[in-house]
Amino acid sequence: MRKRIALKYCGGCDPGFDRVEYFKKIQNAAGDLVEWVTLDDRDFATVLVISGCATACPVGKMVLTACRRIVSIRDNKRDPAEIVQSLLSEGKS
Amino acid sequence: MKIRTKEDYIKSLKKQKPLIYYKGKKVKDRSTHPAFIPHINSAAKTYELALMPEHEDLLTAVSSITGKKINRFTHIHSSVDDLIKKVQMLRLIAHETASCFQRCVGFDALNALYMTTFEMDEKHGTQYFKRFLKYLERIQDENFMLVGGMTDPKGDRSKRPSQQADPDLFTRIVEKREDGVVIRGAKAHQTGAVNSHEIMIMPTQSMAEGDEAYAIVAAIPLDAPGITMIFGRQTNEERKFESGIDAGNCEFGMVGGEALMVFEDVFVPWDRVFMCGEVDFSGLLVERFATLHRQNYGGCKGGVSDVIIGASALAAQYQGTLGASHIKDKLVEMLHLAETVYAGSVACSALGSKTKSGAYYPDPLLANCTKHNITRYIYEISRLAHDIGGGILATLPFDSDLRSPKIGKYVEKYMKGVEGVSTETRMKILRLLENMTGGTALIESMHGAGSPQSQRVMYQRLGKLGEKMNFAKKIAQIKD
Repeated sequence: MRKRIALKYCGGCDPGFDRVEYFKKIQNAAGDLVEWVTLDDRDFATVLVISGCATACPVGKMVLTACRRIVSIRDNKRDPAEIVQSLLSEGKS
Repeated sequence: MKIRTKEDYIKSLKKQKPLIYYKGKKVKDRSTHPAFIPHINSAAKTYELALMPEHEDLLTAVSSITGKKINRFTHIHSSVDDLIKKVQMLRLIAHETASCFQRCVGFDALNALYMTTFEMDEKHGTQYFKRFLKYLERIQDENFMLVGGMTDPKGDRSKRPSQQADPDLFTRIVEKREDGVVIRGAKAHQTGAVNSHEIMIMPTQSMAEGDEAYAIVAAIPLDAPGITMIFGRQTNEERKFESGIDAGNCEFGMVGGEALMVFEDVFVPWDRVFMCGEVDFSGLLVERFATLHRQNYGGCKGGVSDVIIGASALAAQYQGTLGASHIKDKLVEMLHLAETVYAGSVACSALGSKTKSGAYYPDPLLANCTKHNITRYIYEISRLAHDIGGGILATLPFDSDLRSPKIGKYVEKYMKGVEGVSTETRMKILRLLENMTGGTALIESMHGAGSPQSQRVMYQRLGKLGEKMNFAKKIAQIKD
């Protein structure tokens, strides 16, 4: 079964890398294992936040409930496949 | 939001038919006029980016009035976070346009009026705030672009509005009627005027007793009878008509596309009037608008500077000087100046406070400090860009010379820099630098949001010199 994961970008005021391009790499690595949704959708347990810098503006303002975990990306240094693993795992991020 | 896309925005501009003159001639269709298209493209970015998931966090907000998702340019700041996001948003858009995108002026007018009408009603028992909320709700719903109309022509600067030989040199009420007011006067260098939907006129300075007719705030659609706009000339603007590389940045404007707006007995119904004779609040409104506007400059000019720095580095790379230590040092200095102005905008936002209305307001001293730095640092950044770019910035042949079947080969051969970079590529970046760092672009940094002296006046008022003298006395153990 595909896991529903919400994607959230920071606003991108002065990003250190191309966030959209990096997400595409993560999306490719995830293939059919993930159904990407937005925060406006329901029934997702994990949120992938892609921020352009270490500040990661959206992360501090998001409410982390028991049924929701946040995987926060602040640069493009990690292997996208590794990020997918992290998204699919049930542990803490 | 009724206007969502760039196409919606252009359609809305076509629908409204204001009277505009360009170079002495009446403009038939403002949405297709070649002089206006770069400015339309710049402003359109404020709509386009709001629809992109990777930018919506900055470009949209939740309305404190309706709870609906709105474009941030129509939002009332409801927290310090909103103030910071405003600055971040401006830097982001400047990266896309490398020029002014015009919409912050109306944005600042809305915020200044929100807090000031609230306090006017509290003191005078007027109904301006309620009236303004209704208007604001419509602006948010339509997603209209608003001109922030503050600067009057002012004639003889040594005289008050009511003392001028020509009373129209400050915009004024010439008649009060049962159904509204009639306005006469002009607003000078109005950013984004020809491609906006409405103007919010405000007093240009603090008014005193006797100047009641000049203490007027009113929202007016740009196609209201009696309004004439005269577009201002900018450095190299007609290069953009050529669609070649000489414009440097042919898709977007150089500055905001400013116009002189004339109001020849323009009628405004009461539901669009938000100040009418309350001279005691004119100064506060001007100060708030100025502070909110000066807050912006480290964001937008910081973003524009990022493009200038990038172009300078590319120019150096294309001519083989990027590795030189003095070039690296100049680029570092440019980065330092750009981040310094950005830091000022973030700082005045971070130290923002809640007004009685609930709306948030940046720290005024730091906001003025930020804009004051802009009047110097953008010149210095541009000076360093010229230093790095070299004299070729001033003597580069025409785009048509490069394309010429006869002499193109010479331009190609002798304007070439390093191997692997075409002459055309090098010329493109040099032209971008030239156009971003001279003429109108610099003057806008000096006088936009108020001339340097207006910021120095704020230092005198808010700088707490007496407290600083006390600090010194205490340390020196002086007792008096």
